[in-house]
Amino acid sequence: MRGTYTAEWDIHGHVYSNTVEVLTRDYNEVSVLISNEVGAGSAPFPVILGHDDGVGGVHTDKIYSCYILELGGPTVSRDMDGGYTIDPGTVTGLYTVVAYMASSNNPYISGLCTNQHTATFRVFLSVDLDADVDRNGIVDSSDDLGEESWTNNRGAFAIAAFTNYLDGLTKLVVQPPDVSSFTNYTLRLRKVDTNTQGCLKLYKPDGTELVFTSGLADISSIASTGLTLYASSLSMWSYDTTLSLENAHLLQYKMNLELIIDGGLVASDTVTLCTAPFIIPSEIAPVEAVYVTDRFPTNTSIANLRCIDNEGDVWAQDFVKIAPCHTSNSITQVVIDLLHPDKGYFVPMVCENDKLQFAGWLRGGENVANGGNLMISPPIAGYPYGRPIVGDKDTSFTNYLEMCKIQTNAVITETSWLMVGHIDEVIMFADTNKILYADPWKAANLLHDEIVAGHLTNEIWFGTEMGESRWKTIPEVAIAAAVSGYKTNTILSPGLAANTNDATLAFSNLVFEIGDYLRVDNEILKVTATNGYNVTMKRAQASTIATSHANGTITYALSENLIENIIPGDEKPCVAPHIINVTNIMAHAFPPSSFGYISIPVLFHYKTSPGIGFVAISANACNCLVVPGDHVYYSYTGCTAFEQYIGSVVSNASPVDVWLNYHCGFGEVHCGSATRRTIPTSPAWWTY
Amino acid sequence: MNKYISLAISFLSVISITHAASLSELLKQAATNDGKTYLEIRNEIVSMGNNALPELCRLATNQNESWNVHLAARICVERICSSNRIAVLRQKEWLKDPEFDKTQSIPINGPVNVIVPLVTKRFKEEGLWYYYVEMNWKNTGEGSTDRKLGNSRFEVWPIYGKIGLDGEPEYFYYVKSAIDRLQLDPELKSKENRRMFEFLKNEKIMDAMPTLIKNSISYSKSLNPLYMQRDESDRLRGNNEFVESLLQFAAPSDADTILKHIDANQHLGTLRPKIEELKQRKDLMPPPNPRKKKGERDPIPPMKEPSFRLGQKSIGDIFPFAK
Repeated sequence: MRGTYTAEWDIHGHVYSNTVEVLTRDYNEVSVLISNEVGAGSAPFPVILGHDDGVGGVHTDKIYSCYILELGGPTVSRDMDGGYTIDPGTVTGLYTVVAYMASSNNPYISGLCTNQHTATFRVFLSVDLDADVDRNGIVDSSDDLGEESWTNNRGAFAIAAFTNYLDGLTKLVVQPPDVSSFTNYTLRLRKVDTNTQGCLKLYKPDGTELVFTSGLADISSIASTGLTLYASSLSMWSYDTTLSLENAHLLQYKMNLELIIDGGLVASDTVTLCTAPFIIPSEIAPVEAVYVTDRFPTNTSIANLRCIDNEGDVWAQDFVKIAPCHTSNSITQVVIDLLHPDKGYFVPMVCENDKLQFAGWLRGGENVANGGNLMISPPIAGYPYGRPIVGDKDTSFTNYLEMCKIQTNAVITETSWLMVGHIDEVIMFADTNKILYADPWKAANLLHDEIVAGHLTNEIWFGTEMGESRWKTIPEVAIAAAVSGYKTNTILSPGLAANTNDATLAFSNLVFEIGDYLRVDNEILKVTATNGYNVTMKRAQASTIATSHANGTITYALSENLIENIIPGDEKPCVAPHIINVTNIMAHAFPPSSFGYISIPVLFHYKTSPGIGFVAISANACNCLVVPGDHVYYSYTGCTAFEQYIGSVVSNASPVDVWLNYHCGFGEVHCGSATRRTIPTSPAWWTY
Repeated sequence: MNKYISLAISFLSVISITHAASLSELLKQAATNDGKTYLEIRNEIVSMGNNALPELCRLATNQNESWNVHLAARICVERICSSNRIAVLRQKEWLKDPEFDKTQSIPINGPVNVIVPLVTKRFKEEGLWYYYVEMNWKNTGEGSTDRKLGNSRFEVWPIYGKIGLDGEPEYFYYVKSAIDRLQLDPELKSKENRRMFEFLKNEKIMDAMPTLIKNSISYSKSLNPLYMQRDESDRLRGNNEFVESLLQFAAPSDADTILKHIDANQHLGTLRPKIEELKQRKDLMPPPNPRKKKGERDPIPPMKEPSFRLGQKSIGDIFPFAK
């Protein structure tokens, strides 16, 4: 290639030629003088740039780009056939045409100039590193334009993953350089900056890592067909912790392909990649597979259920989030390790099972082992990828989400009153417009209906201890125990009028005591004094409404559990105010005009040692697994009334017995499962 | 040879009183500071090492010093003598303990609940009483480093410490520490302090009555968050019943304090007759409660400051100079 060449071109029958010398030090410049063109006007003149193969052929396919060096010069556009058209318009003067070519053999230029122009035609010894810059899923010559920088409209991606699986990773293609004239050359890749050196990994087609030393890797011995490499990112953000999250941005990487001849850099090509962030799917996104440990019941109809013997805990939801990365025209699922201390082999086995990429949750510290505390809503206005919801017991997920700037502005709800404190203990999206919420009042009302209907031998699963019987009768759960039996009675004549004055009623026995909360129809009354059979009560307690109650109406004293669930402001913490707060916060973000709020009957119990806070003491059916088009799998409650109700308000509800597997460990079906779901690809996150 | 005796022999010859004045002052500072500042002071004292032990032991029981200086001194003595054992306990991998039942299921918040029997046993065996108190008294952040305990370990480690103190004479200092913290947080803004408040109330610590009464308004408000109420006054709902429940384990000597509180809070007026009953009561201990619920504790009478021991050994048996 080094040597002297003649370039020729023909303009209006005038053949011009120029003798050029190709130098190998620094860049190689071929200057061609174009002058004294014939013609007038400002019509575009086509210029064909290429190289003469010496046997009569002119090739334009190795012209990678062509532009005018000086600002304000004529415009250049590419023709369909690979040539370039230079439109001088009204521009006159001396301009330099710069063309990047794969070869400098016999540079060729021809064209029809309509004005007098002087141009310099530089031919570079060039190398070519390609990635899918135009985001069409194919790496080809159309990716050259703008490859050295990354914009919302153009630029290649790298997904964040630590893996040897090549599927889904970004392809980087090193085109074979035309260096046949040289023997003493080196072709190498350079990781340009510290981010790239620290966080971008390149794998060879055999899955082994391309080793860089001081940011350089020699690839001189590549095949004549080139070399395809696969890129993955070990990190996601460039984030200066001294600045606000607003200043965080997705990491970009710069790779240089360099040609060294006689020790000097004679050609290089740069490609910039941007990390594609994880996007956490909504709880109602289409399901590809459900991953559980081998403790999950096997008698369900869940499609694509993957049971994994992980030799660890059972809380799949807290082990991983499986999140798609949207890159160009493809989706790559990444298993995000939430760094749970007892996940066993869950993460590698999930990856191995379906050849998925995996990555670690790279920011947020060790507290991220709380996957159940991060939920994504269905897409809503302003949130095409859904809006996150996080419980306030641990908000460390939000840092990552804010940095990615895609699923931002998390709704932070109150979960610190729960012992575990995960949002999926109290909220679940069941459809595009349905939100389930755990509601102790619904439980109390359903139990009340059973008591009034005389179904006193009906049962409900109740408790948290594995060694204790789960089967309790409804009175055991709902009615305070008396010395013998339960504190129940009936209202005697004349009944109770609908007013809020304190009421004194005579009962037929001495069952009620000061401090008891009585339920009569839908009203709660509090016993404030007793005098023999006469009981004085405060009306309309716990935000209930004083209504009239007929002679013969059944009344009973609430059990301690119902008191801690629905009677706020007594001596102990109570669930109901917290549920109201959670639903109020949710309703602000997801207005009831767009979302139906469906109460799910759940009773909680306050534990104080050593963990502090409420845990579900009845099966928490709100903590369910939603598989669109299939079923909503929820924890079986053991209570006919609860089951009938849930079946009536949740479409395709399907109960699963997870009492011993999960409930007694303070979790339920959702806690025990991790789901691989798809995400909407429009709008693409980089345009959003 | 006993580890403490060998330690005592090693420095008997270098007993120094040069730290005396500054130690007393430093202990006072330690007793009244919290968190990082406390740690700096405590570590400064502990760094004095064996030379400081005689004076620390003297201050730990000196009748002219208050309980909190005694406690700070005892914490430092224990730490000088047992820092390695404290470190070992903090670094202990609980699921590798030979007595941990590996077949049991681990709850979603980690094994912190299921290892309570094991924790109780080990904490008692270790007998690092003053470390257990310290973790409840000061926000030292010196908890377990065992990640296998899950994220709940930060929350439960002080509770483990309290479990270790249950039934021990040093429980006195736990109560004192809790009262001390509650006095510094009358609004009960800290969740940790609300937990301590509930412990004092549920365990019916008679010594804690003035503090429980003083903080009872804040506690009721914490149960009635503003978003649930029509206005601020509604947040006192249930406070009357709550104070009434406190009266069940009040001592006659608390009557004036409680009465003063009732006078300052109109909604508690109906409790006045009960205060009169309390004043008339001759026994320190309240009468048995006929409506006592299952699992409900009996009141814990006023406690005396315990003598100083490390583990199960009296400090005088360990250090001759402390006899």
